[in-house]
Amino acid sequence: MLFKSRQAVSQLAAALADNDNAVLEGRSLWQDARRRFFHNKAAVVSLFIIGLIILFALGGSQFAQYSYEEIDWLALSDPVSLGRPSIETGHYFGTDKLGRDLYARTVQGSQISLLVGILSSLVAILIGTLYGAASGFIGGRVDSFMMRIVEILSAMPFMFFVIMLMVMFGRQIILIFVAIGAVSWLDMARIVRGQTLSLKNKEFIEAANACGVSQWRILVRHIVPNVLGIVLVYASLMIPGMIVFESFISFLGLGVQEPQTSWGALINEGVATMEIALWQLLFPLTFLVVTLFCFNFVGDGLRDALDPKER
Amino acid sequence: MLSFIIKRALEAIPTMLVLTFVSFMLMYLAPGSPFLTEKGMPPEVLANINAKYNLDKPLLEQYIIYLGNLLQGDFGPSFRYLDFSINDLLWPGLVVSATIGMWALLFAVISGIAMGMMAALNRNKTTDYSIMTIAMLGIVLPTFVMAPLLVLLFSIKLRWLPAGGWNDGAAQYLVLPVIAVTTHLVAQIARITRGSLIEVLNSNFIRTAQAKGLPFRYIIFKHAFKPMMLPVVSYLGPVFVGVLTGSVVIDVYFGTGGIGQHFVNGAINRDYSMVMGVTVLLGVMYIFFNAVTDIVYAFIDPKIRY
Repeated sequence: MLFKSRQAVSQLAAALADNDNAVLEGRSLWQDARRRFFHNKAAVVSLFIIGLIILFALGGSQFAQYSYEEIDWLALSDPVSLGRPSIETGHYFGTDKLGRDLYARTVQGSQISLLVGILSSLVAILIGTLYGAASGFIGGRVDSFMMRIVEILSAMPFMFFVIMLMVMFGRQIILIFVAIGAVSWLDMARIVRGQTLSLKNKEFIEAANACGVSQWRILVRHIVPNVLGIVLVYASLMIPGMIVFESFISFLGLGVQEPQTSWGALINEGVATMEIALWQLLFPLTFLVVTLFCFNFVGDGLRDALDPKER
Repeated sequence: MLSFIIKRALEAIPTMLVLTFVSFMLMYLAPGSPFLTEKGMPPEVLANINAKYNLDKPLLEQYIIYLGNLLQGDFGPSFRYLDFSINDLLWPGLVVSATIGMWALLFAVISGIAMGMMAALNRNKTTDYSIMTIAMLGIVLPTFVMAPLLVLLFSIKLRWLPAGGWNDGAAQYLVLPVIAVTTHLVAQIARITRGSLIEVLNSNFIRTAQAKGLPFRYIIFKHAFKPMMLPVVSYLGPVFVGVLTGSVVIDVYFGTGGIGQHFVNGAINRDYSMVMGVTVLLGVMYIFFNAVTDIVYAFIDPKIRY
């Protein structure tokens, strides 16, 4: 840290000495953050792997020899191989216990898991950010009322919401997760509110007020962009949380509807047969764990990049 | 301090009222009924059953009756398991969940803080990296993955421990559920402790203590420990209830019969009183432990005084 800043000072001195370059170009917060993020090798590699997994989910079915719902009776009835992974049969990841191609099912499961994770996080973050920013910005009675609502909602067991939603929406997993997103914005709202409270009294907001900028515009143009760093960090940690949550619901047998599947549903099926057909557990498990790892590293990288204390 | 505690308790009352009301309404709005079976039922019988459980009364009256019983500590009869009251079902489940949760928490706090401190004191060395890798693994592996892997290793391959069951909380039945719950907690606490201790060690009062020539051990445990614990305590507050009331995955996978299982089954079977019972119980505990966190905070953070 010290070394870096000393280097910066010497660079500055050199630049100042060089008369042609007397005008120094300023760096914005985001440029700074990007530079720091790309210095973090673990985060960059993780981002790359996440990209690969998304590509796999989108285009992986091109390479599948079977569809994800089609039963391969030959593999199912073969007592020697038990549907083990092999290149010759075209079942790269083997088959599941019903003789369906596990590769095609993993591709399908990745689509559902990623879609559900990203979609519900987006909903939660949108609501949470706006709610928190509004609550902190308006302040006073409205603020304490809005925060009381958050407190009541967070005292309700989360599973209760989820089960209620499941009962109401049936088994439409995407709808359920949009709804889950709509009830899991509470932490986000708290964090954003705290940030907004500390931003509200800063000079630049005062300046905007003095210039006669409308309250709504101050909120959207000045407050929200400044809490975006924290929101981004939180989002990168929320997506894996949601993926785990979907897997958990599917693990309980309440999630996606057959023949569709997700990582959690595949893991659940794999667990049932892990004593004799370990690959049925290992392939989906690897995808889930690698994805979670990568999102966590990216989240850490973002936090280090955007944390003002690190500068 | 006392007035703060009283104020906190009074604040909880309206919250609890709204909480019960909202969950009562939601449960009522959900389609389906506990008595609808595939075979169907003569309308007269259904009317009788509805009358027995007060389901024929207006909604608001039902709520008030429920609330009145609740104040006397009566969660009502189970709609699904005839001849059982919710009290009969809930308390044994809570004992199971709380036992698992207590051990998991105890283990997590001790080892998590120890790991976090070790990592922070050896920052950017091999010790730090290996501890943090283990912690990352603990965070990434969800309970529903941990549980089967543990069973595969310790029950199926090594045959050391039973794969499930409760058996009145005999020690060997406790080990796997506790490990499955605690891994994630240890990892989280270790990470939070590490970050917090690093930040504390960089602050001015630690530098002052060092400049005074105090021994290192003394600085860590006398000066740095309390401020280091602040983020850990605020993490533990909300987590506490979740851990004590157990995890659905553990109950389902190990068949321990904790509260989580009742909750999921209750909601699926439309056992209104069961779901309400669990919701109220968890809500009360959540609010209670949030208040406890605030009070603990006041003790260890010199900046907060009530």
